[in-house]
Amino acid sequence: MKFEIRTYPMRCVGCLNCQLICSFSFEKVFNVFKARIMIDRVDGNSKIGFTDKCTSCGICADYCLYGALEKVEEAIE
Amino acid sequence: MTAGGYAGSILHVNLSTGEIRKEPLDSDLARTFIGGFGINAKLGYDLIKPGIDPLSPENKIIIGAGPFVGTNIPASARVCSLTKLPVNGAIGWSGGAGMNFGIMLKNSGYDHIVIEGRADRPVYLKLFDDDVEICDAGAVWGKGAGETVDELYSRYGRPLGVVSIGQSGENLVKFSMAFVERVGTMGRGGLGAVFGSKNLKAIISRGTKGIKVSDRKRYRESVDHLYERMKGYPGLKGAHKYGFLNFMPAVPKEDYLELKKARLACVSCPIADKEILQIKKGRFRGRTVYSSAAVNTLASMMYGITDDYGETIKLADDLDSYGLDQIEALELLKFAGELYKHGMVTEKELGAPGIKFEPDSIAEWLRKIAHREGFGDVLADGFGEVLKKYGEGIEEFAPVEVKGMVAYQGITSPIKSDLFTTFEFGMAVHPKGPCAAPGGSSPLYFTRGRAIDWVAGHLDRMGVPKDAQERIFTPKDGMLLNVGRMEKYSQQSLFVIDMLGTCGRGQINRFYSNKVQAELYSAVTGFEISGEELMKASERAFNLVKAANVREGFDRKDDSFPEGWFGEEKHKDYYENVDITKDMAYGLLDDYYDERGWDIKTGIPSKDKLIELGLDYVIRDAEKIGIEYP
Repeated sequence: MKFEIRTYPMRCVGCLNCQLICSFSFEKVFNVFKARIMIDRVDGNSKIGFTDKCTSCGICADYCLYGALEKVEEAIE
Repeated sequence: MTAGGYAGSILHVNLSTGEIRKEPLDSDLARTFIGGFGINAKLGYDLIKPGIDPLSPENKIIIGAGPFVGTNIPASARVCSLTKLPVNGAIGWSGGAGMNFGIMLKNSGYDHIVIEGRADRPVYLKLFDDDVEICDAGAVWGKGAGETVDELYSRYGRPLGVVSIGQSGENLVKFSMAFVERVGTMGRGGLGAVFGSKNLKAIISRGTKGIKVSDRKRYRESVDHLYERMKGYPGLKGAHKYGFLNFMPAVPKEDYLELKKARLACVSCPIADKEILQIKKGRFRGRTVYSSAAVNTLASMMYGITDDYGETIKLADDLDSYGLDQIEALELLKFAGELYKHGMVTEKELGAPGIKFEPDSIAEWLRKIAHREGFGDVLADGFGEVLKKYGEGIEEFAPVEVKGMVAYQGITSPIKSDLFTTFEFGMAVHPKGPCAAPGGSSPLYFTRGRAIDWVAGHLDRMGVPKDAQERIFTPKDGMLLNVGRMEKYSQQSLFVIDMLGTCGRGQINRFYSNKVQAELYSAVTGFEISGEELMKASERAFNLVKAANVREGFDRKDDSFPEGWFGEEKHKDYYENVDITKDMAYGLLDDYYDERGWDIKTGIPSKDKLIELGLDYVIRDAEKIGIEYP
C-alpha cells in the first residue's frame, strides 16, 4: 500500500530513525546511506526528501516519534 | 566474526609510527565482555601498562561502541572511552553521547579503536570505511572544540561523526574533556589532555558498511514493542518541547522557550535532549550556542557569577569551546579565590586583578586555565596537584573532593543534594573518581522517598537477585535500605547499558529492563544470553577495571567521602529518618565491598571473586608485580 507522506522539517531533530528503519526494511541492513528517505540536517535545520526508489510505504512515518513525518491514512494507490 | 550487531573489528593506530592495524573482533571476547565498556575494559587492562605517565605516548585512548549502536534500538548511539586519566592516574572510563560518531564508527567497520603514540605534528584521524588516514590538523589546532567540528563539516560534508578537543586539551589541562559533535561530553578526568598529549585534535568517521542483526523477525518484535511503549510515555511530549528541563525544571519553561532555537538528537533517540540555544538579550544577543542540555548552561548562575541567561549561556559556551569540565574549572576558581582571601596566595602569584566571580573575570580566567597562563597554569593541573601545593590549613574552605576531582553532588557539593543515595555514595567509590555513572540506573535517581515496594519492583527490572534485595532492604542504623549494597547493582546495571550502547539517561533506561536487554542482545547478535549472564558480564568488566586500578595503587584509602559531608549539615537517608554520620557512611562502604565480594579491609576484589568471574589471570598478573589479592 502506498501513502502520502507529509513532511514537517521544523519538527525534525536529526535522530535518523526514519533512515534506519527504511534501510532495514528494504535492504535488511541498518545503513542511512541505503535509505530511500534523505535527511540533510545543518545547524538544527532539516531538509527532508525521498529518492526515486521510495515506494511511499510510510514505514518512516510509523517510526518518527517527533511528528516530522506523517502518513496520510488514505491510500494514494 | 559474523554475529549481528558487531562491526567485526578493532582498529589499532600508532600515531608515533603511523602504523594502522585492523584486528578481527574475536567472538569469545565479544561473548565474554559484550562490547562498549566491557571490551574497552579488557583492552585497557591488557594494553595500558601499569605505572605509565597518562600523558606519555604509552597511554592508550580506547573508544568503543556496543553491539546495539547502529541499529534502530531507541537511543542506542552511546560511545565509551577508556584511558589512564591525567587528573588522578586512575584507569577511567566514560560513557558519552554518541550523536553521529557511534554509528559512523560502527558503519566504518570498527567496534573499537585503540590509539597510542604521539604524532610529530597536530593531526586528526579519519575513518571512512577502509580509508583510514592520519591527517594534518594544522588548520584546526588552536581552535575550540565546536569550531573544529564546523571546520571538519565544511571540509567533508555531513553526515559526519566527530570527536574533538578544545584548547584546554591541546594544552594538557588535566580536567579537559573530549566532545562528540560539540554536545556530547566524554572523558571527565582529562581525556582531552590525553588527546592533546598525542597531538590528536579530532577523530572523524563516516561509514557505509551497514549493521545487520542476526534474527530480524525476533528483533522487530522486540523493537516494535519498545517503540509502542515509548509512544505512550507521558513524558515524551514534554521532553520534545522542553528537553531535559521537562524532568529537571531548573528555570521557568517560558524562559527556556525564549532561548530555544532547535533540539538535537543522538541517532535513534526518542527524547532529543541536546540543544541549540540563541541568546536574545544583552551584549551577546544573537549568539548561537550548542549544549548537552539547557540545564548544563546554568552553572555560572549556580555559582552566583551572574543571574542573566545570556551571560551564563555565553560562559557555558566558553567552557565547552575550550573543552573544560565546567564544575572542575569553576570549583578550582572558587578555591583559588579562597586561597587569596586567606592570604595563602599572593596578589603577585595570582596576577592582577585577582579572581572576581563576575562574568568578565571568569571568562578571562577560563581562558588562562585553557592556555595555562599565569596562575591558570597551576589550576590547570586540577585539584590533586593544587592540594599538594596548597592543602595545608584549608579546613575552613576545603574543596569537596575525592580522588582529585570534585564530588559534585552532595550536601556541601556544588549541586546541593540532601539525600544520601547511590548517586552521592557513588561519588566516593567509583574507581575513576566522582562521576554520574550509577545515577541513571538507580531507582533513587530523581525520586524521593519512593515506597519500598516500588524500589523493589525497579530492582527486579534491573535484574537484582532476590537474596541481594533482602540484604538491601535489611534496616541498618535506622536506614530502611542499604545504599552501599544497592550501589553494586546500580553500577552493574549502568555498565550493562554502556556495554550494549544505549543511553544512560533515566528517561531512556526506564524502558530497558534486564530481560529486555537480554532479549534484544540475543536477537541482535545471535548469542543467546540471559539477563543474569548480562549482569555477570558487567560485573566481570567492572572488576577488571578495578583490577587495573589496583595495579595503579588504588585501594580502600582512596574510596573516601569528602570531610565536608559530615559537618553541621548532614545528608539524610533516602527515607529521611536519620542523619548520615561519618561512621554510618563508612559502614555502608564496608557493605558495598561485602556485596561486591571484595575484601573489606583493603577494598579490593578477593581471589574468590576474581576466579568466579573467570579473571584468574588477574591474580597471576598481580603476583608478578608483587600484588597479592586477599
